[in-house]
Amino acid sequence: MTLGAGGVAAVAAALLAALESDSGRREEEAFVRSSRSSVQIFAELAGSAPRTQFQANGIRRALGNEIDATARLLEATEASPEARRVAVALSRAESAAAGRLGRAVEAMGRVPQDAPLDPATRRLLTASLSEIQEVLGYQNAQVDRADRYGTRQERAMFAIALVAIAAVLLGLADLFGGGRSGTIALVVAAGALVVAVGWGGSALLV
Amino acid sequence: MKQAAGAVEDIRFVYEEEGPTALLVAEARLLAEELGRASERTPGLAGELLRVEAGAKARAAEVLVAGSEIAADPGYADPGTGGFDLVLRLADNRRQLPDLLALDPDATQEEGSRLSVEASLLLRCIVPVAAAFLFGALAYGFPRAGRVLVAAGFAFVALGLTAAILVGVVV
Repeated sequence: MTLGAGGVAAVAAALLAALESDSGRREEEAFVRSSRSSVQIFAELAGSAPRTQFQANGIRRALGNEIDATARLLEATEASPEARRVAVALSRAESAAAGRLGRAVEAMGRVPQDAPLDPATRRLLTASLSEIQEVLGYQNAQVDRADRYGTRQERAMFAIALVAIAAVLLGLADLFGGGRSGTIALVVAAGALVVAVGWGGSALLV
Repeated sequence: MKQAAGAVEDIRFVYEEEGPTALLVAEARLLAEELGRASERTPGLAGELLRVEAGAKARAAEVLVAGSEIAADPGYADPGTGGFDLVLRLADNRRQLPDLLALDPDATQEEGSRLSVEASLLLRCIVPVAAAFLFGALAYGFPRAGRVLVAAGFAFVALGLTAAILVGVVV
């Protein structure tokens, strides 16, 4: 009887060890994916900002030049004819240049589809807020996954401890033989084994 | 992290350091062109003042070019707008460190996952071996069915070994 129970304990221990190892592996993998997502979020925020900032600064500068040209034109209305002639020509030239500068800035800030960029750099350069939020959602999911498998691993480890106790009690039962002490040890061992299998099995429900 | 840091730094350098300087060159050149056109259609002193201003902007552009690798390289010029191809510059900068560009963290992670799965599967192969121990114990307790139980035990041992070999070969 004790040998048979010992065999059951061996099978239970093997199953629980496999469950514990697998859960630990999955937990670690989820943590790694979560960490990488953190780095990805930072990289996408840091990588996308310079280009949009460059465009904003450039367009701001072009607009500033346009405003200067218009202001000069307005101021020249009260100037002498010669001065007004200079101011008008200057303002028109500056305004035309400001318009061209704005178009140049837009072109310089664009990322064409056929640009010879590697996929990783392209992704960082063109990352949008919605894409970053997607990565954040994925990161949160991985943290939840790590938590779930961590709980599974803990339950499996506790169940293995119970199996170890059951194995010790089975050894004692064999030592005590068929008397009262041996029976008590056997019953308690069986109980520990049942609880171990039940607790380990409940890990799969997490 | 290495891959991301390299890319972020290259992007920052092009759009925050090299780009603004190149834009100053573009601005000066565009203004020089427009002022030059305006001076041609404006007679008298006004026209001469515009011509001087155009010349000044052109000189300023030449001075600025000396401080801009992008503006100094015709390969980055965009004749259509008068600007420069910053994306091409970024791609060229990235190619200067091919080892950094070749990093593939996804591949490394996949390899790690594969090895992890292999380890997990190998551990599961001890379950049939434990079952073999159970059959051995049962054979001791039930001598009449001893032969069958021992045979079953050996079969489970073989199953465990075969599974382990298969995992090593296939995974």
